[in-house]
This record gives sequence, C-alpha cells and structure tokens, in this order.
Amino acid sequence: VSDLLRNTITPLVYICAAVSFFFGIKFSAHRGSARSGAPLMLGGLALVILGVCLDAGAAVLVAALPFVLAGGVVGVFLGMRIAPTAPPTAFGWLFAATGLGAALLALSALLHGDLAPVRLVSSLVAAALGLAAAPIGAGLGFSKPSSRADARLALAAALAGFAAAFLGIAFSNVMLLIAGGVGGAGGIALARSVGEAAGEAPLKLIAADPEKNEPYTSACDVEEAASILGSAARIVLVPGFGMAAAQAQHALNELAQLLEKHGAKVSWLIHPSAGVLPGHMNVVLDEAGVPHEDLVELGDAKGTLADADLVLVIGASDIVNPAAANDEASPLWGLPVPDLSHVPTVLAIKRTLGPGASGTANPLFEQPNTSLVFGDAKKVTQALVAELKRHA
Amino acid sequence: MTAAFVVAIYLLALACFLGLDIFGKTIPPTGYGRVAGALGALTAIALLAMMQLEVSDGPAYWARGLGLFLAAAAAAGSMTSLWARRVPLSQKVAPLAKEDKA
Repeated sequence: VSDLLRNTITPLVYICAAVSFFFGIKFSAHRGSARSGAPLMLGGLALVILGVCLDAGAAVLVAALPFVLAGGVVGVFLGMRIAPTAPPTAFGWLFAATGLGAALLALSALLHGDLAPVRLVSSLVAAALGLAAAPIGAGLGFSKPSSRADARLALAAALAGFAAAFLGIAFSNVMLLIAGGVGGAGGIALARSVGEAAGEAPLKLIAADPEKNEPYTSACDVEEAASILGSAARIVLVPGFGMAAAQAQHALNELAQLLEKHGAKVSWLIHPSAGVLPGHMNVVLDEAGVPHEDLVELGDAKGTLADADLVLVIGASDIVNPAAANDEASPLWGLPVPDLSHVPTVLAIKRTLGPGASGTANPLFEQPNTSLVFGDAKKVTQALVAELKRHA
Repeated sequence: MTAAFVVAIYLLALACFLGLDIFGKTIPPTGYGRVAGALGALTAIALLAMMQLEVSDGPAYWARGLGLFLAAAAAAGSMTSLWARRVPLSQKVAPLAKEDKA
C-alpha cells in the first residue's frame, strides 16, 4: 500500500494540484471567472499538502510542521500588508523568500548524505539559482517602482521557479518539477511583457542604470477601482474643479451612499480653493444632497486622513499637489494641501495626466500608493456605482 | 535513474511550454503585480512538497526547517494578497506604457 501511495497516488495528487493551479491562473485572467481563480489556487495548495501527507511519514511531517506553520503565520501577516494598489516591487520579498528557501532545501539535501550524480548536480544548480534569486528579490524592496524594477522582478521569478524545477529533478518530485518549470517560464513571459510595454529589451532593462528611471504611474480600470473601494472601511472623497465641471456630484453622492450602505465610513474633504471660487464645492455638493455633517474642512482633516484606508480624488490636481508643501520652487508653494503620502491607497479619477490650472505636474500621481482611473469624472463615478451594485 | 531523468526533462520542457503559454497570453501591458503574486505562490507552494525530505538532526534539519519556513511564508503571503484581490489578472494596477502617458 505504501509503494502504491508513493508511486501512483501521490504523483496523481500533485498533477491535480498543478492542474488546479493552472486553471486558477487561467480563470483569474477573465472578468467573468476571476473570482473563481483564487479558490482554485487555494485548492491546489490543499492538494500539495495532501500529497505530502500521503508521501511522507508522520514523524517527518511532525518535525516539519512547526516551521511551516510559523512561516504561514508570518506570510499571512506580510501578505495582508500588500496594499491593493501596491506596485509589483511589493512582491519582491516573495521571490527572495522562495529563492532562499529553495537554496536551503537543496543545501539540506546536499548535507543529508551521498547523492547520485544527477541529484547532486541538480541540487547544486537549484541552490545556485535560488541564491541568485534571493538578493534580486530582496533588493526590489528598496527600489523605486520602474520598468527596470519590474524586469528584475521577472528575473527573480524565473530564477526562483527554475530553482524549484531543478529540486524537482533532484528528487523526482512531479509537483516541484511542473510548478517550478511553469513558474520559471512565467517569469520569462513576464520579462518579455515588461520589455514590450517599456519599448526596451528585457535584458537592457535589467542592466539599466537605476538613476535614469522615468516617472512611474499606476493605473487601473473601473472594475479594479470598484473592488478596491468595496474593500475599504474608511474612505475620504476629495472633489475638485473637474468633478464640478463634469457635473459628477449626484453620481458621487450616490457612490458615497452605496459605500456607506456596504458599511464604509465616508467623509468629504473640502479644500477652500477647490473649484472656481471659494465655497464652490459646498454649493455643488449641497445641490446633490450631500449631508453637511459628512463634510470636513481641510484645516480639520488631519485626524480623518490619519484614519483613512483610502482617499478618492475626483477631478482635482493642484489642491492635492504635494509640491505645494515640499517644493519651494513650485508655483503652488504655500498652498495648504492634504498630506496623502501616508494614506494606504489613493485613487484619482482624472481625464488625463495633464497638469491642473497652475500648469504644474503633480508628483502625487507618481506616488507608489496612488493609482489613476482615467476618464470623465461623471462617467467613471457612474460606472463605479454600477460595478458596486453588480457585486452587491 | 536515467529513465527518471529523461522523463523529468520532458516534464520540465512541457512545464516551460505551459508556463510561456499560460502567462504569455495572460499578461497584458498591465497586471505585473498580480502575475508576480501568482508566480510566487505557484513556486512557493510547490516547495512545500520538500516537507517529505527525511532529515532528523544536524545542519541538514535546520536548513530544511528554515527553507520550509521561507517557502511557507512566501506561499501564505502570496495567497493572502491574491485572495484579498480577487479581480482579473488582466486588469491589475500596472505602469503605463509610454504611449499611454502621452
């Protein structure tokens, strides 16, 4: 029975796990099926653990379990800290951990005893690839988001994946072999995609001078933005001239009411200079029926912003431009602006990346916690309402 | 061992083909963060299969323990972030291509 388990059932379970994971990734790529993707990937994880339990003896599992459980707890904690709009570099530590983990597991096998030549060479290659992935992945945590950083992330993914694949060759483990091969090749596909988007060869990007990076702007579509809004508990809306010009106040009030119905606390931050004249926002929002008690003046907004999970900027640029507070050379210098650098997530609905009335570029839109939703303020807000209602 | 090695190489080639196919079609000019999360999860989860490595004491035991700790942390971290953001890969936050910025 033991041989049957080890030689037949366990590889089958591993193959089912790999298939489950592939379909999870595949489903994640399409709007209609995206929500089924993550459960399928979790199913793959459960099958891997089942396969290990079938394959290994109880004593081996008991000895391994404390390390796995401790790692799981740390991983969940770190995973929860990755903000919805976090740049890809936020995932760098994953590949540092995976690469170093693969190298240590290969080292363990090497220390364990005499290995046949194929196992020995495969383990050495796995250790080398894993050790190469670790510093690249760890270094990404200190990098500014850029196409170069994305290309290096892809390289770390490829190295960690192939390290796992070579461990699979060393130990004739089907799961490691398939998952490592797919992960490694996926890293190469990712590097190619990054290169295409940046208009550069991936290898050139990896070797590029980190000081010569272009500004990096993140964007997401309405579906993504609705998902992020739907998961926030304390939301601050910052309307600007673009909101009033697009006549988006009614749609925005409907959005606020919908979010409150879902359990979120919604506040409106009113900048005294927002709009064409002081008080413009108050008039427009009053017309839409926004309750006065939900409005917060800029001078009183410090506490509200400190508690916020998410700030949604609607058709505003100069009044949220950090250059007004940080750059003495800026024409906006001295204008009071809210500090949004510590808010976990900032979403900004903008027609284009063009500057505000001052003609000054806005560094807020290049902050790693900021993501843009491009489009007309009214249309985007209406689409957000429709999307939230669809998933209610 | 030779036969097993040949099978392993075939499987690796097939896996690479699948990886290029799956991710090559999935990754748009947006979505790198989510794809990276999925790749990390895939590799880290597979590494947990090394729990079956039988070592009982000494440096090999601690190397395996630390390796499993890191693999479990990466697996749990990537799955947590993927679970929390169950939205399409193709729509994830990403850098704009040069032409989009214009």
